[in-house]
Amino acid sequence: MSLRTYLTVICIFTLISLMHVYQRISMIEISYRIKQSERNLEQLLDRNRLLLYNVSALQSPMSLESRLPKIDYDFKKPEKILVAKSSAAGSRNGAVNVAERQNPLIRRMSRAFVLKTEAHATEK
Amino acid sequence: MYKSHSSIKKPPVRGRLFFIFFSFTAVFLALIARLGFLQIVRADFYQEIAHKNRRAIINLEPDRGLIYDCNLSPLTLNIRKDSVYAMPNAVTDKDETAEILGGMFSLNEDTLLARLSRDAEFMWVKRKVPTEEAGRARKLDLEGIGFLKENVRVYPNGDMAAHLLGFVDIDNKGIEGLEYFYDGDLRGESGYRLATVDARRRPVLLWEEDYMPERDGLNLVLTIDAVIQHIAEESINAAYQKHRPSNASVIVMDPNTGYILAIANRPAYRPDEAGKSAPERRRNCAVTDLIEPGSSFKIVTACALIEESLIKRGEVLYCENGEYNIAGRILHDVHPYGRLTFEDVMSKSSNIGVVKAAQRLGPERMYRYIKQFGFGHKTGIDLPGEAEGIIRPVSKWSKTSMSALPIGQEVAVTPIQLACAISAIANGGLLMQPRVVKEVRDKNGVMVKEVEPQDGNRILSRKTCDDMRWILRLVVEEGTGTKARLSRYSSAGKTGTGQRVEPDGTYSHRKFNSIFIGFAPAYRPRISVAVVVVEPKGYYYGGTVAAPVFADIADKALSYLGVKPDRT
Repeated sequence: MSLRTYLTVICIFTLISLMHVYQRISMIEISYRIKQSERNLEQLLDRNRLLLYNVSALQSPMSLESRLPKIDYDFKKPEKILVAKSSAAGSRNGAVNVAERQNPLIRRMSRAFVLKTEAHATEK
Repeated sequence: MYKSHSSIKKPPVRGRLFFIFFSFTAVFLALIARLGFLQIVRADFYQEIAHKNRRAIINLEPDRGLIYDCNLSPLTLNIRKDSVYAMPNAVTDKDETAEILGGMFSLNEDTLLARLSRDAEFMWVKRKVPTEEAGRARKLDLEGIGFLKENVRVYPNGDMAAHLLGFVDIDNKGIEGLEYFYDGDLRGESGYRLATVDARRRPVLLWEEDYMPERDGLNLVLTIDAVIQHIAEESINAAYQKHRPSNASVIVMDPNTGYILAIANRPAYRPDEAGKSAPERRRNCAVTDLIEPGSSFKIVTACALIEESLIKRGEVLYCENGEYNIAGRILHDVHPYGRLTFEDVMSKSSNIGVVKAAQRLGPERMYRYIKQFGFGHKTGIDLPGEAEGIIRPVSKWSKTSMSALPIGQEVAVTPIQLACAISAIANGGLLMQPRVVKEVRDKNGVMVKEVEPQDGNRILSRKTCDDMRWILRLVVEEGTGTKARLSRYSSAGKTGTGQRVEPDGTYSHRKFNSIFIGFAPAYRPRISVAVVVVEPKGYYYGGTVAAPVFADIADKALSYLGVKPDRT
């Protein structure tokens, strides 16, 4: 075997070996990065769990009841029952059809754009 | 003159060469022999050491299943906290490490130093430490000290439903309540990774040899409604603060399905700090404690009489003006009554009237109805520690038993049994099995198991229940239970004031159980409520102590449930 052939074989063999080693090292580095990503994911999940806990604690009836009196709202306990009926039929049983009180022109125009269902309001 | 070459003596060349060759060969053979010994004879030993160094079994801890209320609001959650461990053999400066960690985590330094001085690979320093403390410890970067994330069970509603939920130990194993009863479903299964690690003990995915994924625990969806639970907790807490009893329980139930909507006990505790509270505070009195039900037990007697057609509507009984001698025992009423209809006997809770009527039943029938109502055996509720109750067989009754049992003496029951009994009247005669868990789901929300309401056991006819409903309404409208009247709904129920038993076996004149059991609305009941207050201070009548708790809970719960008021 001539020297040139010998050197060529050696070089090729060396290159292949280097590529193999590089490939193995790359795979290990990728696995390290995957592990790091898993750790990052775990940290985010931990944070999510804490936030969920805080939200649940804030939404608990005890917490809401302690905070609601501090908010100025105008809720009243209903003294009478108000029933809103929604039906496709016209007025019946003497119930007043509020829609019919409107200007007839407006009523005709609104029919072009709204659903046919009309609202009845009765007081019980 | 020069000497000739042949006269100079030279050392033999072959001998020297042979000596060198022999020396090298000997050394070489020795090395080969040693190599052979290490790699062939002691191969297993060194391979084991190499594997230990390179292999690591990483435990994969499953997430414990969560517990939700019926509207899927979480009652329990999991978060993760750092646990601090030490590798004693890797800690070089044990004194300094013990001093630093002892001060940081409030541990005894001498004990910690002793443990660090042991020949061990691993030990816990402190588990599940607060995040700030763990952060400070991490920054110190102490040699031989490491951190591991562990799951911690938390309860976002504080002490609400504490006795129902129970709690877990440091290893997340259920100890009490639902956490214990359903521990098998909640726990899940651990997994593992058999990984090869590098020189810095970091697992390398490429070299993973084996992997078994963890199975997270299953989630429970309860029949409990968090809002009704809160209403019950607030009401019973107010009664507990006002009357300072030994303990108090309230159960809110859907009489038509047996679903428990709320169970609350006082005194309470925080499940995430269970170790700091006394064991008696952690007892779920609603299912574990036995009480004499007193006059609330008269519903059994009345139902039996009506069902057996032994009493007619409007039938008049003479109540002996408050004192009656029966079988050598003097029976008293709270107020002296003369002639009362049976309905008034019940609404005014006359002991004499009920006992007189009960004689028509006889012991056998009385016993049969008591058992039919579920007293004397467990209800089967899915909570641990349920007591059966005590009801002696007829053969062991004394001659005064038929003057005691009809008015709730000589019998021991649990609050849950009382709740089930009144629910049977409310729903038209079916004894339902109480349930707390409605569904079991996996972590993706897919249902694994559904607990359907079971068909109740018919113990009374509808007619009997209708008659009883009317009688129990009278109790609330005109009788001893007027404080159970609701502003917007009709209600029905029975008061009870049971005497406690002293250690010498006699009935106490100072210690009582205050009881109210009822349902609302009276004619289409949506909830039944049992309130038991044990040994209240000051006032002790059921109508005074327990009935207002019923009214408060029922009023708010029915409004919340959107039930249309039936009272103008």
